[in-house]
Parts: sequence; C-alpha cells; structure tokens
Amino acid sequence: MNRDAVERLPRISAMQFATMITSGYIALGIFYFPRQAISDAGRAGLWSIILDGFITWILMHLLFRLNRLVPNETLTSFAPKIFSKPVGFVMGLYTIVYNFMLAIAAVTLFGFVLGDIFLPLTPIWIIVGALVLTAVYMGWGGTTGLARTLQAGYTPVAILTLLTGLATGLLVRHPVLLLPPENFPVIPILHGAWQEYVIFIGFQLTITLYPFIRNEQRKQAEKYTYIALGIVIAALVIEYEVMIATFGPSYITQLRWPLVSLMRILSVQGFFIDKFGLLVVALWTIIVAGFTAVRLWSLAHDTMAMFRLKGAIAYHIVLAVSGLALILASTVISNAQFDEILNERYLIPAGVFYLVGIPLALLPVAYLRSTAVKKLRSQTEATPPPIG
Amino acid sequence: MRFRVGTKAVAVLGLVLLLTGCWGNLPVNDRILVLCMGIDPAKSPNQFTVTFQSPTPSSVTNSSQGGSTGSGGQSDVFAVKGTGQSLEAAFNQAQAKVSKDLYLGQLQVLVISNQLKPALLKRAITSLQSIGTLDKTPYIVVANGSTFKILQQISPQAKFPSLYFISLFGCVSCQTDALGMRFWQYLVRIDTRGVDPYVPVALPFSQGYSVDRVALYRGYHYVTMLDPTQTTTFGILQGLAHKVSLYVPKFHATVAFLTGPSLLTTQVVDGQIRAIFDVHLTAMLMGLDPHSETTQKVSDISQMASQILARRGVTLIRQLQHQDVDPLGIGRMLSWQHPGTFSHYPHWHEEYPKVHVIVHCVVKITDVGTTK
Amino acid sequence: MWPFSRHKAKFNAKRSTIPSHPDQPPKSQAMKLVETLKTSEETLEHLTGFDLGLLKDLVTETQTFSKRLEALGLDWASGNSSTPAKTLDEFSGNIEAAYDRLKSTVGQSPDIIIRRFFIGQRQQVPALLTFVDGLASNEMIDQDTVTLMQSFKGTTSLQLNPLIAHQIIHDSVVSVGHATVETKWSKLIIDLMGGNTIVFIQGCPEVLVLDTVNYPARAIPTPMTERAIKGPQEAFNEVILTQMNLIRRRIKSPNLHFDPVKIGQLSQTMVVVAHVEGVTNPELVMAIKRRLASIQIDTLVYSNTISESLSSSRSLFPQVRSTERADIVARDLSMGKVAIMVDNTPDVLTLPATFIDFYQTTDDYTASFWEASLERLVRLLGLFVGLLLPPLYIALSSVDPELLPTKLVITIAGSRVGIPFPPIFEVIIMWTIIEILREAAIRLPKGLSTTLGTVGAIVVGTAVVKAALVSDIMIVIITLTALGLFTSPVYEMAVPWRILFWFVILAAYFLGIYGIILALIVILAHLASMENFGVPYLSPFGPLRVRDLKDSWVRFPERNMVYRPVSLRTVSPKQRTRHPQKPMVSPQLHQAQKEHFDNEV
Repeated sequence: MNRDAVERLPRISAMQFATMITSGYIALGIFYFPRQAISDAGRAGLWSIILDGFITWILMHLLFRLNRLVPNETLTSFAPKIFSKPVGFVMGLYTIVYNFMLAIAAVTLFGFVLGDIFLPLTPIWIIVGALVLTAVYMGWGGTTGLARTLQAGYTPVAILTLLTGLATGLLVRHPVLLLPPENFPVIPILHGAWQEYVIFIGFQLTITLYPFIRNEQRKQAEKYTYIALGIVIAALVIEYEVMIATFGPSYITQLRWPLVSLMRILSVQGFFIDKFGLLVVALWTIIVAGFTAVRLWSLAHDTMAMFRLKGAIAYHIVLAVSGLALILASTVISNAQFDEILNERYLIPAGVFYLVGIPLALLPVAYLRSTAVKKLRSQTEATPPPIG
Repeated sequence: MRFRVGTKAVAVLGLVLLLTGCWGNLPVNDRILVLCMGIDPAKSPNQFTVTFQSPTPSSVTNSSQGGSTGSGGQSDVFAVKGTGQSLEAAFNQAQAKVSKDLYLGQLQVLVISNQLKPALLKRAITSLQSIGTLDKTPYIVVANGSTFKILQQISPQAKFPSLYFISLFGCVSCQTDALGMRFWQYLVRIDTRGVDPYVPVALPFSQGYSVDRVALYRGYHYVTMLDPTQTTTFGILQGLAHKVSLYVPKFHATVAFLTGPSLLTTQVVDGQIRAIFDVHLTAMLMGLDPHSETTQKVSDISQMASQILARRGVTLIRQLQHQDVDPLGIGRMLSWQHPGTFSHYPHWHEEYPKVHVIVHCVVKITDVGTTK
Repeated sequence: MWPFSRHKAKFNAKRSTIPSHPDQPPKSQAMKLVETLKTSEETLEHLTGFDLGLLKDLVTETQTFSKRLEALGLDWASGNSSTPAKTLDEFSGNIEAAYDRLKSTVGQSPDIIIRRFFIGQRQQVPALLTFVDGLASNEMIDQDTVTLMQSFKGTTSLQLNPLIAHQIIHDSVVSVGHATVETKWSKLIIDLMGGNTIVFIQGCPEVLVLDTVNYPARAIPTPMTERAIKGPQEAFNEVILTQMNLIRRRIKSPNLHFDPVKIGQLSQTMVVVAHVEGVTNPELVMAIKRRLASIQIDTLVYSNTISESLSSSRSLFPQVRSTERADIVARDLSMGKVAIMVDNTPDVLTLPATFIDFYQTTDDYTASFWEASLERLVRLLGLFVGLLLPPLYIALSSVDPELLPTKLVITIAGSRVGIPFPPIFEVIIMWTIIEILREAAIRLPKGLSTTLGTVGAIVVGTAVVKAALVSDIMIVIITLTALGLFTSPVYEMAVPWRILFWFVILAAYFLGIYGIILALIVILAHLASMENFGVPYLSPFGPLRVRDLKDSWVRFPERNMVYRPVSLRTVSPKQRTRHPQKPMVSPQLHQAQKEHFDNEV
C-alpha cells in the first residue's frame, strides 16, 4: 500500500477533470482572439483556428498516453525516476516557471482589460491582487474544493458566455462574410496558427492533474476533455464567424481585444443593465480566476512534488506564497503591450516546446525502460481505503 | 486580547477606507453625466472646441419624480465648452469650468461638425477611441455648421436631446430609413478599405430636429450632403428603407411602405468591374380608386415604381462615383468576393469611378391599401 | 460559593462509588470538625464583631455533609451483613437508611416527595416511596400504587421472602404498566428525576422503578417557524417520546431505529439518534454516534449545542438542518439521513444537510411540481435579490454607471440629488433601521409588534426619505432585500446571507461589479469546499450530480425522482420502483354505469 497515493484520495470525477483542464487553457488567449489569425491570414484565419484545435487534439492524445504510463503520479514526481534526477529536476522547474509565467500573463491581461473598461482609476495591482487572492481562496479547499467550485461556477458562466456568443449573431452586418474562406494561403495560416496558439498552451495541466482522477473514470475523463475541446473549438469558430461578419476583417486587426469589443457593443434594450455584453465581460472574472486558481494549484502541487513536501499546511503555505509572488511579479508588467509581447515572444515558443517536447522525450524513453515504468506503476498503485 | 485589537484595527481601517471614497467610487449625482458631445473647429486653426452637454440637476430631479416637462422656460440641459489642440486638452478645460466630475461613460450621441478639417476629425476620433470607459455604442450625427445649435435645441418630444436621438435611432422601423450609425459602425467604415462612412445629419428647426439627410465622407474628408430624396434612394440601395413612399404620377397612385433587402454583388468581366444591386422591395398601394383597380394596373404601377427607383439609384451612384465617394461599399464587397482583383488596385479611389453599376429593382405590391 | 464546599462535594461523590474502609467510621471526625468550627466561629464573632456569613455557610454545609455521611454509613452498614461485596452505590435494603440518604441529598428540595408507608394492613411491611412532584402522575401514584399496596393482603409472603419482595409487588400489586428494577443509587436518582416513582421495600435490596412519568408538556403544536399552506400541520413538542411517536407514525417499518444516548454530566439529557436501517449508510450512523459520544459537556439544554459539534467546520452556513416539522424529519429519514432528537428541545436535527436542503420544505412536496418549481425559483430569486440588490445599487450607481440605461441613471441621479451620504451609508442607515425593527418585533409582545411594523414601515420609511437622509429608491431596494433574504424556508439560512451581505457590499464599494463577482466566487469556493460527514455541501451543483438536480431549484414530477440523493450514498439508492405499465389508465366508467343502470331496470 502506497501512502502517497492513498493520501491523495478523495479524487475528482471525470467531468470535474474536463472542467479543470478546460478552465486551464482558454482564458489567456481569448482576449486577443482572433486578431492575430486575421492579421496574418485575413479571412482564412479560420483555418488557423481549426488547425490549432487539431494540433491540440493530437498533443492531448500524446500527453494522455504519457499519463497512462504512471497514472498515479504527476510528471514532476515520476520523471526523475525514469530519467535521471537532474533532468527530472530541470523538467519540474520548467513546469513551475512556465505555470507561473502563464498565470502572470493572464492576471495582468485581465487587470488591464478591467482597468480599461470598468475601473479606470483603480491601480492595476489592486485589481490583480483581488483576483489572485480570490484564486488562492479557490485553491484553498484543495483539489476537490477547486474542482467543485469550478463545476458550480465556471460551467454556468461558460454556458452563459456561449449563449451570449450566439446572441452576438444578431449583430452580424455582412452575412456574405459568413461563407467559409476559399483561399488557403499556407504560410499565413501557419503563422496565424502559431500566434493564436496562446489559447491552447495552458492545457499542459493534464500532466499534473491526471493522477487525481478516480481510477475507474480515467477513460471517461479523457473522453470528456476531448468533448470539451470540441466545444471550445466550435465556440471559437462561431465567435470568429460572428466577429468577422460584424466588424469585417480590417477593423478587427485594429482592435486590441476584439472579443471584448464585440461584447461591448452588445446591448439589450429595456433591461436594468442595458450593456449586457459588458456584464458578461465582468462575469469572465470567474473564467480568469478559475484559470489562475488552476495554475496556482498546479504550481503548488508541482512545487510540493519537487521538494517532497506533504500535508495540507505545506500546501497552503506554498499556495499563499505563490499567490503573493504572483501579485508582486505582475507589477513588473507595465502595460498591455508588454503583456502581449510576453505572450508572443516567450510563452508561445516555451509552451509549444514543452507540449511537444515532453511527450517526444518521455514516450521513447519509457518505451525503452518499460520494465522500470511497470515497476513504478505497480508501486504507486493506490489501494482503496479499508471499509469501516 | 490580540484578536480584539486586530478586529478593531481592521474595523478602523475599513472605515477610513470607506470615508476616503477611494478610486472610482463616485455616486452618480456627484458626476456630470455627459449625454451628448459636440466637436467643432475652433476659431484658431488646428484647435477644436468640444461641447459637453448634460442634464441640469433640477431637470434630473424632476425626471426622477416623473414630473412635468419644461421647468418654466428654463432649459433642461446645460453645456460646457472646452477648446484645445487635443480632445484631452479641451476636456480638461471644460472640466475646469464645472464643480463635478465630467463623466463620459453615459455618452449617447456624438455630434461632429461638417466643417471639421480632416486632420482635426482624425485626431478627435483617435482620441475618442482610446477612452476606456466610453464604449463605442453612441450614435454619431453630423451638424451642418456649429454643433452647439443642435446641442441647445430642445425637442418637445423628449426631455434631453440624447433621449430624442436614442429613441429615434433605436426604433428601426419608425424612420424613413434606418440610417442611424453607431460610433463603432463609423469606425469600421473608417478602418476598412473600399468603403466610406456616411453619417446622418441633424438639422435643428423650431420644433426639434429633422433627420432626413446623410453626410458623405471620403475617409475623414467631408464631401457632400445628400438631399432627402437622394437619402431615401441611398437607404433603399443599402437595404435600410422602411417607410419610403413613391408617387407614381401616371396613375395618380402612391406606393408606400417600401421596404426590403438590397443585395450587392460584384463581378469581374474582362477586367471590367461590375457592381450589381438587387433590390427587392415590398410595398403597399395607396390612393388608387378601388373601382379602377385591376391586376394589370397594379402590376403596371409596380413596374413603373421599380423603373423609377432603379433610375434614381443609378443616378445616385453615378453622382457618388463622380464625387469619388463609396458609402455603399462596392470596393469592400469586391475585396470580399474577389480578393485577388481588389488587391491589384493599390488605390481603390482611382478605380471606383470606372465601375459599371447595374441596379435591379423589383417592387412587389403586397397590399392594395385601404378598403372602403 | 465557598471554595471548601466544592472540595467536599467532590469528596462526597467519590465516596458514593468507592467502598470506604469499615474500620474508620467518618461520623466522629465530622462531628469534631463541626464542633471546632462552631467554637471558632463564636470566638471570631466575639473578637471581631464582623458578620461571619461565609463561616456560617461553611458550618451549615459541614452539618449537611455530616448528615449525608451518616446516612451513607447507615445504608452501608446495614447492608454489610447480608452481602459482603457491596458498594456504597448500592441500596442496602434498609428503609431508614434510604430515607436518610434521600433526605440528606435530593430530599432537601421541595419538589421531591419522600413518603414512608406500610404495605398491607395487618402484617405491615415498611416501604418508602419517592417521586418528583409534578413530573409524575399523582393519579397513578395514588390509585395504582399506594392504594393497592396499602390494601395488599399477602404481606406474609413478603416477610418470608424479603429478597424477592419487589417481584411479588411487581407481579401482583402495582398496576403501573411499565415497571423495572434497579439497585444502584446513581441510576435510581436519575430515574427519579425523570419522573419515575421509586419504591423501596424493607429488606429488599432491589428497588422498584415505576414509570409514572407525566411531564407537563405542550400539546402537539402547529409549526410556528416553518409554516406550510398544505400538508400536515404537526410540529414537535419538547417531549422526546412524543417526538419519537410522531416519527414512528410516519415510518412504521421496524427498520426505523431509535438509538438513545445520554449527553450531559449534569443534565443527563436523552438524545435519540434515528435512522432507517437498510437505507441510511451505516458508516454515517456510526460516525454520527461517535461524534455524539465524544461530546463532553455538563448540560445539554438546546439541540443547537450539539449541532455545532456535528458540523465539521466553523462556517457561517448551517450544516445541520433543525426542523420542528415531523413530516420533514420523516422525509429526511426515508431519504437516508440521520435525525437527532434532543429531549426538551422541539427542534429535531437532521444531517448531513446540503445547501439545497435549506431551500426545500413541505410545500414543495404537497403542491404540484409546477408550483413547487416556481416556489423554489422564487426562493432563488429572493436569495439573489436579498444578497445582491444593495451591492448592485452601490456598484452601478457609484462605480460602474456606464452599465445602466441612460434613463435609469438619470432617475437614480435625480433621486439622489440632495442626499448628503454616499450610497453605502444609505445602505448602512437603512439596514440598521431594518435590523433594529426586526429584533424589536421579535422581542415585543404580539400585539405591539404589529404596531411596530406599521410604525417602522410607514413612519420611519417616509420620514427618512422626507428628511433627505436616504433616497426613495433605497427604500425600495432595502425593503426587497429584507424580504428576499427571508424567502429561505429555514430561518438559519438567512443568517449567513445577512452577514455575507456586508462582505459583498464592501466588495462592491471598492471594486464595483468586478468586486461583487469576486465576492461571489469566494462565497462559492467556500460553499464548494465544505463537506460534512463526507457529503459535499454544494451537491448537486458542485460536484455536479445530474440525477439530484431533479430536486434542486426545480422539482421534477414525483415519478421522475426515482433515486435517493446520490451524495448521501445510501445503501439502497432507489426510493421508487418504476411502474412501466399504468394499471387502469382509462377505467371503463361508461360501461360500468351502463351495466348498473341495466341491472336496475
């Protein structure tokens, strides 16, 4: 009986896993969407989005294969055992830094969006600080608490956003633009896909979260995650179409946060809050808070796995410290332009390198050292707690 | 004991924070709600005057108590002016003249003067876009001459000018042509190649405003103003006509409530660009003596009406081509439908006058008017 | 209290259970002490002239104590001869000793009646009877006990077999339905205090405990705090037996178990854990019993006292539902929950409770599912209105006015012209008024509270607006808030929201709409991370249990609710077996009528 594995119970359900993973990637890129794709490929940017979705599906598949090797351990704890310790350590460190950078990029971005629209006089660090503290509190209740919060809060907001997205269809001015683009300029599409990939780079969360799925629900969890990815891509495609048929491709390239702009022109006559779209933007707080919470959670778990820390108190300390560090670090980013450069120049290459590199490096090694992996798997197999 | 001290400290801190009225917290009655904003050229060149119009406190109190309109000849609105080289400078000057915070988040109508020089207009529009709290939903209206006249004109139908324009443009089917243009739509037209902005013109008269013309811009250049008939034709070609009526002199009949979509397609035939407008209108026949009404006659009238409208459309587009202004978006449609061809023309304005334009207009009479 | 007396009381308690040494009779020493004390008191009084009340108290205490020791000694000494292994806790069979012992302990309070009498008329056997006046039925004692014993004719057998005298009396004399036998003083005293009548018979070490319990109890009342339009109108009263009866009437299966536990060193309160075997998860029952067993308190008067020990975190939100309605307890039991009854408290606790449980009530199940769903949604709306209306007002009128339609902004601005305070202080003023009115209305006599309501609503409301302290929109908002928060059918649920309200208000004040949303996320995260006895508090929303959503903010038709709540992990998950065929869907009424008429004609 492995103590670590037993301590990790209670675990999360398949649907909770899919919710957590989905909340872990969409928040960062959604604000820029679909500017980069359109400025590179014009109307054909639609293909960039679909290509991104397809690539994500493949990478997800690879990562799940990787996870199934040792389903009860996070990558940061089993990588050192398959590779050597230093390589595993570097990998863990990379994961941690990467998680941290993603969180910084997301919270500052949202801080700028909110500061620009709602709270022009409030300092950005206050907005970011409140957001991060909320995220820390979300993560405070542990994996199950976070998963439940997301399930109860994130899902309704996501559905509301989806419905609002469909409602923005009423704004469509040029139905001609709804027709799918006929041209395939390959290089611009690829370039657009690269730049737009910031939406998806966050899903590396699977490698940390996978061991927390209930054993019997693993297959189902993978299925749900794929379904969620499908829904995300469908929603993105719909929003892309709506936006391009509302604004036309040229105007979108002028907008800093096109989706926010689209939401801002959506108004409901005769309601208490007539700028309904803006209210939805405010509700996105939960999406960003969810993203941050999931990042912080992952950060805390990876740190704990790397330094072999255990117990709730250690978790809380690591979580709080990461939160504070996040608030401090986010003050470094002085403006929205800088945030975007951070995304484009560093996060996308680092993320893609990670997402492609990890499975490509680990899968062959695991194949070669299959006996060691098997041993590791049987060691970490959790025994259910005794009844009574 | 320590806990109690902590609680007290937090409570005091909280109270202090509450009393400071921190950051963006300012009750609405402590703000001046700017509902309309007018931009005029100033006397000195390269400067503009910005007028911020907002309701007076007494009118606000009256309106909240559902009170009567018109508070004894006193105006319900007041305007503050500021002049400066940039919008921000003008704003600051205006802010210095009032005791409360000038708040732009509730801006409903943006009035621009047609006398603004392109460079000035561009500067103003760029500044407006960068105000975060100002979303891009206000309507944009052109004033012939000074905007101040419009901002001071009160309509007996609505308390504040902004409310008048909101209800006017908000009700699409209430107008002859639904030509209301929101700021974001204006920006889309400014930023998209192959289409030029048009803006409805509001002309003040003793009983309010008449909004039956549009001003045409080439980019930021003011070009011309269409007369009401041309505006109607423009509305029909845009597919935005709602309550247009047409008198057919030959039969002494009126075709009313002309409404219907207009479909623009572009073709490239032997290097020649063709723009085809397919206008499908439905209408109601009025003023015809029911005894003399026959199927033949009705179809004749509808044919006649179609011909008149098509002719008017072609004439209007010729004029627009002559003036080199493309508010109908022929170039934009070409760029969508034939992106290759469009990208061959670095300067669309050189090609635009050469486009061959065809207008197909079909008027279908669905209702033969009143029965006696 | 004099510190020495406490020490002595302890000494006494110790003595009552531990056998003392027979060669050291405590009497002489005690008397010596008393004498010494008395002399010293006199000397002191003489010397100082001060009032020596405390010393007098000490003397009295010592006298009482010495009497008690005497009685103990007598009781112990008289039993010593017959059975050697006896303790002080056991009754010796000596009536006089028993009398002394009772008289010196509980007998000093006036409600304890101790009576000596004789069994039989000719050959009299001395006996002693004691009961608490008022808790025991006088009729039963007079007619079914004393009269019958005094007129008993077979006293010879009693004298011959004193050791089974209690059996004879039990079998052939007293006509009280429920009679038991007890020998230990510690148990006897508790039985006595519970309303039983205790009969000591000379020479018989076993004591008869006659169930003559007749509490002064309320009749079964109608529910006061959880009212329902339709459905049963029975609430619990304070008597635990009645509570059990009310539940037993609703669940007649022998699987319904009532397990008694005694809690409280002083109060010895009876607590009953009820559950349905074969439905409720046995692990849950065991966990609850363990939790109850770990409660170490002196007095248990209110059920709320243990509800805190039954909650796993110190959250604002109630984790145990307390209800006065018998039908709700029966329903909860049949769903697989555990009910806990505490004697002398009319509120029965059911647990584990989830968030949504506090929004479910009798009306939901006595009305059609349409109406029930509508009511539930209204409660949800009430919650939102109550929690969010003032924060939204603050946020929208002070921080984010751009979200409002122009006309509404003008209306709000107009109503606020001339008001000296920012909206947050308006809220504080109005809320204070409302809370004071509410508190006063509860405490005042009924007749006055109606007047107060009128005064509060009309006079204060209009006066505050007239005085331009608060805007008129605020009156509307606060009224809706005050009403909205109390749409929860369970009163306790309004309390957390009334407190969290301020949290949301502050968040709205500082960060507007954004702050409200952050505050809501924090509340949600708190609710989602709570768990009591392994049942997630926010189930069925987070964790999402699609099956349980059928009885959440909407209620599905009864036939669709096939399963018991998933989160309770019941032993038998189904509560309803589906009947695919509908027997007698369209009975042949017409045919039957026709045949009937034909027969008659």
